Amino acid sequence: MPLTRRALFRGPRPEPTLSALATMIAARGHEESLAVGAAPAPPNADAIRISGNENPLGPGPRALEAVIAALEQSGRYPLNSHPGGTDLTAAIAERFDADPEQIVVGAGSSEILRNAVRVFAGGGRHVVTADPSYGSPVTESTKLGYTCLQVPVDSELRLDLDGMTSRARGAGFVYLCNPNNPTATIHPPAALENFIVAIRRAAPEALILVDEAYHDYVTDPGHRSMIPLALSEPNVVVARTFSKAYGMAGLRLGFGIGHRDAVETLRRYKLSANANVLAIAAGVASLRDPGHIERERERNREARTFTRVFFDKAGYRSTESQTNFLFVELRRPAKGFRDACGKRNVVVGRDFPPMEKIHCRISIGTMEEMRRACDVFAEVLDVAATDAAGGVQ
Amino acid sequence: MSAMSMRMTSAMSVSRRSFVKSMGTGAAALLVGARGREAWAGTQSATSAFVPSATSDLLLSSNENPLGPGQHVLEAMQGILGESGAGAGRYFFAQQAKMREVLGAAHGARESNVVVGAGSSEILLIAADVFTTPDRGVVTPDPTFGTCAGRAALLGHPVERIGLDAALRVDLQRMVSAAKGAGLVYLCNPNNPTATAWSGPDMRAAILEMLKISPETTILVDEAYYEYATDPSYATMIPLALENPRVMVARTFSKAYGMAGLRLGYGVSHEDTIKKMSDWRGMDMFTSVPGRVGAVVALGNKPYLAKEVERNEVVRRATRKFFHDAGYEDTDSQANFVYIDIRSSNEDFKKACRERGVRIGGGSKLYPKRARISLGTMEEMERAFGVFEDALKEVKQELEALLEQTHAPGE
Repeated sequence: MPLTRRALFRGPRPEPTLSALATMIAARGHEESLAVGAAPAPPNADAIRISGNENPLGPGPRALEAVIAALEQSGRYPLNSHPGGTDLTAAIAERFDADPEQIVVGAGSSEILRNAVRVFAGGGRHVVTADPSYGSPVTESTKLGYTCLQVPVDSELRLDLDGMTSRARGAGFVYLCNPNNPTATIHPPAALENFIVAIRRAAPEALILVDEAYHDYVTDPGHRSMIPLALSEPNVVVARTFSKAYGMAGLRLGFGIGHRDAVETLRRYKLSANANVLAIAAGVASLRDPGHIERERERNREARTFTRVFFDKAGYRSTESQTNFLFVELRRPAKGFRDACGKRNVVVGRDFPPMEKIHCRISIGTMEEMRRACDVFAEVLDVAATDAAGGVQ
Repeated sequence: MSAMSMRMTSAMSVSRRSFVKSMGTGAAALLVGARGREAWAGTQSATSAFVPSATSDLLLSSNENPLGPGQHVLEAMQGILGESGAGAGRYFFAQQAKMREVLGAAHGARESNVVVGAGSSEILLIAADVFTTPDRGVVTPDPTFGTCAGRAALLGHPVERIGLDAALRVDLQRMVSAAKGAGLVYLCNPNNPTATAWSGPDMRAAILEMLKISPETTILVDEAYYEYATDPSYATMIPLALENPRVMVARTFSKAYGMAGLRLGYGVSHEDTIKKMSDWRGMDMFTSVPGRVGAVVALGNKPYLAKEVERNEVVRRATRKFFHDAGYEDTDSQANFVYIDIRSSNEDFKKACRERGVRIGGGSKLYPKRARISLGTMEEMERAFGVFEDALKEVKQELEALLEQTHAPGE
């Protein structure tokens, strides 16, 4: 069977062994395996998986076409494939008006995060991060024996920027996740810029990593990326991923962009030929199709609003999400809610200590999935589903 | 909640910052120089101009399998993406255990004996991270695949390079002597770029000797080209690695399995050693869904692999014969590349080949008159032979002209 797009859509169904494998694979979001209180494996493949902040639709049609075309180059190193590693770097540079030397590609943005912690902290220089936030800096610090200060979020579940600044003196690495995972909140550009200036003053040698994994899902018109600042300011790097709005979590692609000195250091620590040729092809094609990301942002916004209104009407508050997930105050432990939903084929997020006692993170699937999920939530929370969701139907 | 209560994870301080700060671009250049071309592919700095990588050149430069992984693997990878492609959007960590189980079983071992990497180069990096220290460095042949030495150098850990023997084999005797006190000994068998291999009994004896004289040293045997070795005396060190925590073997899907672009490799050892490496690696965030599915399918199709090994051997024999007939000597290649003594500058030869649309490998600065040529398909090699003839003629003429000039009277 030739590997064309036609074959993809009209080709024979996968072998039984393969689809069994697919079922098993599809069954888990990435964060479960990390997790404290992981979700039980769903009983069947029809489960609604809204636990890993994934894009339920995968990459856009052009990116998918590029992946299919690239399959035939599986035997070539990214040095020799086309598009290849340099094409990807050039496409990212073009997209963000940067020089290729200001970009370091990673096998997911997690590679950038891990290396940044390792290289910039240590030797008496600590790590500063928020609590709760994306856990990689904590995990990496623990592994390396580095000191990691986790500054609790404020009463509105926003990052405590002043608190983080006050803990930054002597730091080697400061991590800022904006929008923040799992709380879904963002900070306005002026606050971020002030924060970066203050950190630069308190810890001139620290690397400030702004993780913008969910940037493409932000709909707040006031939101700005910190990439322009990172390109000019020393020791600031922005991490981006293709795992969220770009729908490529399974392909492993991300990048860091910022000042060339910091980027050069990160490059020395990266894996050899880290991004695979399929991810490179999909990445290049995605960057050339910005319209798709706009549509994906809008699709997510609708499903997110629908879900948030459901919880509002049911009497459960959530933060004003700028991402593809909600952080809902359920006033009960996440575990019981998760287990009850799991029994009904809806897989929601893991525990996020220290907030797992009353909060649960719920990723946004398709509108159809969220309608079904909200019915399940209503049943589990014992509220009238139609009443709660009625307002936006 | 607004009250500041810090949760702290802390303690021992590891001084890595100082050497990072002292590393300049010169060190990076050194690092690139110390690595094989495949490793370099991943770390090269991008040029500021957009250079499309699409090329019609014949690629005999990176020791790739010219046919890729085969239709069965491509279909499996396409299948996992699903008809809509949604499969590419899902994280895939549940498969990690499954893949390790399959890989372990393939070697008569368990899941706990396997650590997966984004290419075997990740295994080499982890080994350098975990088993070398500022006091205990790496001992490596020279030339060889440079990733272990490159990482140790980056960390500021000692690197001791041991030249090859007269037959361009890893000098096992000298490696044994140098092993004492080392954190890590790296052995590449068959060796890249020289294509030579040691027999199973020779390797085993040398490793046992190292274990005896240097009880704290870990020995990593890189068997990237294992499948392509056809000498009947050649053998894997995996059985030794499974029984001895201080021996480990790295394998890759980049060579005979034809999956260089998918970045999949693994290490096999005693579970204690694997645990150290897995703990260091943390959760697998670096390998892809299609890559993992493809690797499992590839591993299961033994007849396809056997055919690929046979295909390579036929091409290898023909390529060696071409050079022998033309009067050039080579090593006894046990890999998917040959190492030819062209008796002229390899840099010039490489350039002459490139001008004619054929890219060959970098070879080694230690052997400037040796060319490393990866094996393509028979059809590709027949096209390449014509180019090699012309290119060799050109560099020979240049050499003669240069000699004439040097000996010319006057001035």
